[in-house]
Amino acid sequence: MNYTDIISVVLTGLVVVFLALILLIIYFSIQGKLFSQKTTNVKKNVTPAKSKAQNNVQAVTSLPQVDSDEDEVVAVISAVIASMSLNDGKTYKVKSIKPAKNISSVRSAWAMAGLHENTTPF
Amino acid sequence: MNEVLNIFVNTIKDLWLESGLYALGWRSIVMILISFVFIYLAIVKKFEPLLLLPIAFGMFLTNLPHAGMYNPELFNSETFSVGAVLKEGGLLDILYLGVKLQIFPPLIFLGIGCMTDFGPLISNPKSFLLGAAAQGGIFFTFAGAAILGFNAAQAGSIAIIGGADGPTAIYVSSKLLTGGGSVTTGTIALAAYTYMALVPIIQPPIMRAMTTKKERAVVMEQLRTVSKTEKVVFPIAVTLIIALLVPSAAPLVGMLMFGNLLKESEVCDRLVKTAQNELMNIVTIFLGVSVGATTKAENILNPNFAKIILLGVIAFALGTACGVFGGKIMYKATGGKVNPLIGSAGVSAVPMAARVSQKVGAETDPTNFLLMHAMGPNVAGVIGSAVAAGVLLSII
Repeated sequence: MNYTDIISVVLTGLVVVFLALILLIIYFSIQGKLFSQKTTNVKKNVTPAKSKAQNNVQAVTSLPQVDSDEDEVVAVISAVIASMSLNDGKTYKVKSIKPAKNISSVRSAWAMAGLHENTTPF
Repeated sequence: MNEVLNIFVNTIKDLWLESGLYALGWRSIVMILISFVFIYLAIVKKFEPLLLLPIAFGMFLTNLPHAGMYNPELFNSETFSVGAVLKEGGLLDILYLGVKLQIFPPLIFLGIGCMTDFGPLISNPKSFLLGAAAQGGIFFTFAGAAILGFNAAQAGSIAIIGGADGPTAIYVSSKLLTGGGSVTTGTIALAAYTYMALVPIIQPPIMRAMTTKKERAVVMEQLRTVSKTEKVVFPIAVTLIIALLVPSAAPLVGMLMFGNLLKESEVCDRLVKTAQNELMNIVTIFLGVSVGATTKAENILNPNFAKIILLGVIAFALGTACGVFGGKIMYKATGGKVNPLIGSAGVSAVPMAARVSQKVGAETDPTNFLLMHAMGPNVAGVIGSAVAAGVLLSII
């Protein structure tokens, strides 16, 4: 093969691959926008009914306040550790419980747990 | 008594002359030892064992003298005939017809389609760009192989290793390499699967070298939820666009998308289960063992095989580098919203390449989950490599 043939194969190949995939990008971007608009419209239609229902609920009853007493947190953590000790036969001593630093500035613990669950199959 | 003794001695002599032990030359011994190395890599090191083990055992069987399980002369000549293979061929010759007639790779793609979730790609279609960028490895390696003296068909078959997609590599090489020679589908498949298993070793140094710590730490926005309708439309639209643009890619892309449509339609559970499990497993066994059978001593024990191995790793490295480079361009273009590490996943090797992106990203920030973002370019890479295969087949 001479250099002209080699360069033409490389160029043609790259151009066709990019062209094909750019066409797919254009198509799916348009499709994505259409579907996103559709979803937003559905949400807009649903929202007023939802807030009305919420107002009714609030008028009837108020939600009980969650007591965030530290002793309760310690009790919950100790109960989990006690349950663990039953499983593995070891005895644990709780020396201190400190609030964890917010290691993820972006995602909450629930978001992290959700991510873990969704990415575990991979 | 003497006559009986003579018959006995002659029979033993004939048996010895017909035995594999008599015909066992140093080449066969070396090939059998090499097959043992691959069997070891598959079983102990778990290098893509589902394919490498059948390939390695096929290599072992084909190099046993006088076993006659695979006869390359039936496939090498221009007068290749299915009838002749069925009449005169051994077991592996008959199984190899599935490769030669390009039946097995598209069937594997059908199973892959049934197992693949294209959701991350649909929610972020720009990932297609990374899937396309990573195919640069294929075409640059083509140039390298051609400069090294391989002809167009051989260079194309070697280059497709850079797509990091075993069935595509087998499909392209079985179609291009019709005239025999030192480069065979078996050697291409062997190099492709070995390097695919080595993705976690080959890719990270390139990814780290090409990105800054700041780039690797980019946390990407959560992907939007994709509706069922979008997922059902996806395989039909991709098949339509790709098959019209590059018809030679239609068998691979078409079957991949057919499998995906079966899955996403949610009305063909039985077919999906069969394609994902029984069909895929049967085809994998036939494909692996028959492709392994093409690795005769004369194809492996020559300098060209060393060149293929070298060009294979270059193809992989270039593909990774092109993907990361594409990721860097997207990082700049989006004002730092795209983590360039996901670009390396564009080389296919699903889902291993995406896992590598996740792992390298987590080295910088353990709370950064790039996996779902990397799955987009990863599955785009499968489509991209099938398109690149179609382009190579059309041009060459």
